[in-house]
Amino acid sequence: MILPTSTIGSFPKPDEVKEARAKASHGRAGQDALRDVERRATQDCVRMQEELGLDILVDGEMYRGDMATYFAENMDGFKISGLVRSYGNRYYRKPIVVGPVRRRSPITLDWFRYARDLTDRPMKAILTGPYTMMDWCFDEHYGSRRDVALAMAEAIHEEVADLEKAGAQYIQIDEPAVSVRPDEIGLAIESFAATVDGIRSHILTHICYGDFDAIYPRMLEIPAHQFDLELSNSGLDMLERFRRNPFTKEIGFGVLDVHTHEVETADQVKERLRRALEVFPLAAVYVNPDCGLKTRTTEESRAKLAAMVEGTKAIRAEIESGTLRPKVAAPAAAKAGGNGAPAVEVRVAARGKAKAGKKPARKGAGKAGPKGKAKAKKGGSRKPARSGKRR
Amino acid sequence: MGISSANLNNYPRIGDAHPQQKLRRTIAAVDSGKATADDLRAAEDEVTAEVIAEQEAAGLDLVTDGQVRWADPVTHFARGLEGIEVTGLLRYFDTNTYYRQPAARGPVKWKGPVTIRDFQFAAGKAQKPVKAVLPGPATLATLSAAGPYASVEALAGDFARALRDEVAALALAGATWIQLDEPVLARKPGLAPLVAQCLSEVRGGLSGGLTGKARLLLATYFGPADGRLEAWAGLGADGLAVDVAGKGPLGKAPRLPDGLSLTLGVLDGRNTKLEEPKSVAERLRPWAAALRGRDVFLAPNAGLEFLPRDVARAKVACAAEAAKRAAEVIR
Repeated sequence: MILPTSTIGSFPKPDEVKEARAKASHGRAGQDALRDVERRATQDCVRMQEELGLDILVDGEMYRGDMATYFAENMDGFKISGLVRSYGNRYYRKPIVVGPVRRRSPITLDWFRYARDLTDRPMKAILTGPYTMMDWCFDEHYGSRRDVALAMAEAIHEEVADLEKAGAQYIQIDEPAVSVRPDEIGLAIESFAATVDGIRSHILTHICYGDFDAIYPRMLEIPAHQFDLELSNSGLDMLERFRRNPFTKEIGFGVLDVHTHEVETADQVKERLRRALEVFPLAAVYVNPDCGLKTRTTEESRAKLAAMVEGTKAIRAEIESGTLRPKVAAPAAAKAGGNGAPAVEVRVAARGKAKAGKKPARKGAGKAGPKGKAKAKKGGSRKPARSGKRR
Repeated sequence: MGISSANLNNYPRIGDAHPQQKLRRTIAAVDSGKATADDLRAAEDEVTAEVIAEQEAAGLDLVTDGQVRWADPVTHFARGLEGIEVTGLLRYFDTNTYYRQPAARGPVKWKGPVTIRDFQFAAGKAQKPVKAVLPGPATLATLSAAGPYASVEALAGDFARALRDEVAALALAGATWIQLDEPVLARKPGLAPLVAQCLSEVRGGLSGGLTGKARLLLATYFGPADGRLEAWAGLGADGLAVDVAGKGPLGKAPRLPDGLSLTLGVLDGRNTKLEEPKSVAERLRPWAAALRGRDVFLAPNAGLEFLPRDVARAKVACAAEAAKRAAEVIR
């Protein structure tokens, strides 16, 4: 399949989930009741994605509040602050690092397995990356941003390794904070590399809203196969940057602006994809919204995604009929693993379950330690072999 | 003259307790059509009075209105100008907060007071002096879409002329401390000539005989002063607010013109870890001679809205206590 469609991760929470979360946080309902509501919402979310015709699904993050705080709540070394403002009338509770950061047990694994078993389509696992976790916390313990980021990396690496063992073909590690401190791009690369060291799953990252002029093209050194970027919010102006300095990874091309109530048309999506194919090789393009959908209503999300899928199908048809002939060849740097990053290996979004024990991505894979001590065994894998080795 | 304590600019408008979330609930009610603009104004007034009282109770000598009415650090002022349209969300510097980008659609002009009513309300509620705070022209221009303007400099010039009129109106309304926030200067020191040019323009608003004793402050943050204090002292402001948070004694004292006031951002406004007032005061010892004989305020190095309300309150209390101790250190 060309132009696989997916989403960045979060979906709007139905009122039932919001009410259940409020009750649980005020002690008026138990965690089991909340979990039941979240599971039903996850089922609905997965079913909606199937009905819309998306190719790579997500669990919708019904069980998560803030993307950093959720992970902090489930690790040692944190306490959670009072409310701080994000923007407008939106507030969140920010993690505070008060001791050594450690993962005490798998965080998202049960949810990944639960969502994966709801569908025959590939289920993408989604985590928050170490640099963003560090940047979005108060640090009262380490006193060094690098120390915090590397401690986060070690903890998140354990989660990535567990997800891989559970059969996650696609693991997205979000790093939206990477684009705001260009002087720390080296630390972002270093901590991301530690997070995925020895991992063989297909690694994606999502970066948005920041100073791309200052971090591009060096950001391509982040050892991910795919970068999911917000392009439509800024009128695709980033394309010019990628014309000047070719993009050497897969692109998750943002065709929907998630910060507007306006619903895109299929024709708008087609036009955005046509422009994408002037810059990126066809085989490297995945189709996404710009960012997570949690700030939109369910109706808006459904309508926007329907336009995305319809527009993508139309472009696929034009390509298959020969009406549209993408001309961009895969850059040599991609094949060679340019910038020291792993080689791009573009794969078709596979249909069919990849359940642990049934169709493991890495059958018999060994432990992938945080210091590059992966012991993956050869043979038995149903996945294509990776052509490049992650640092 | 002497050493005292101040807030830099904003202050958390909600807290964790239910009564402290009145403004959040009212905004949500307005958004869903269940409350009116008058309800919102009343809630903003109530919370403004509350945060002023909280700053005063913590011991601050110079307070702000907490920017309780501001949707973000840029648009509250920008949307009140002719020629500006407020557009999409962008990240605000290196913070995990956002602002809506002002976009110039035509010549940018002052069309009437934007913050005067806010200032007058705050001054009427406060026992201590209230500092008026506005976004600076260079920062406004850098964060805006220039539209028909040929350059950021040209847009900054028109923002400066608009600010000149706002500053004059604030001075006439009785503001004695008027602060222009230029965080962009700490991030891009090369913009100093533009800031100087803009300040010269803004100062024109304080040249009339009716503007009283108003003093114009230039605030930089999101980056340390790092030896640039002497250069910034020559940009044309009556006072500087700079980020000097950290550990250990301050370095070599700068040589500063007589009469220049200093707001020293000695408390980390972006971290919950609380400083010790005694240590904060001791850090100033190498600068004792340079600080004597001028107005010095100890303050956070950034807006306190990055912190939860309870921590913000503890930070301003620390500033007040540190100022008392610092008076001994620099005596």
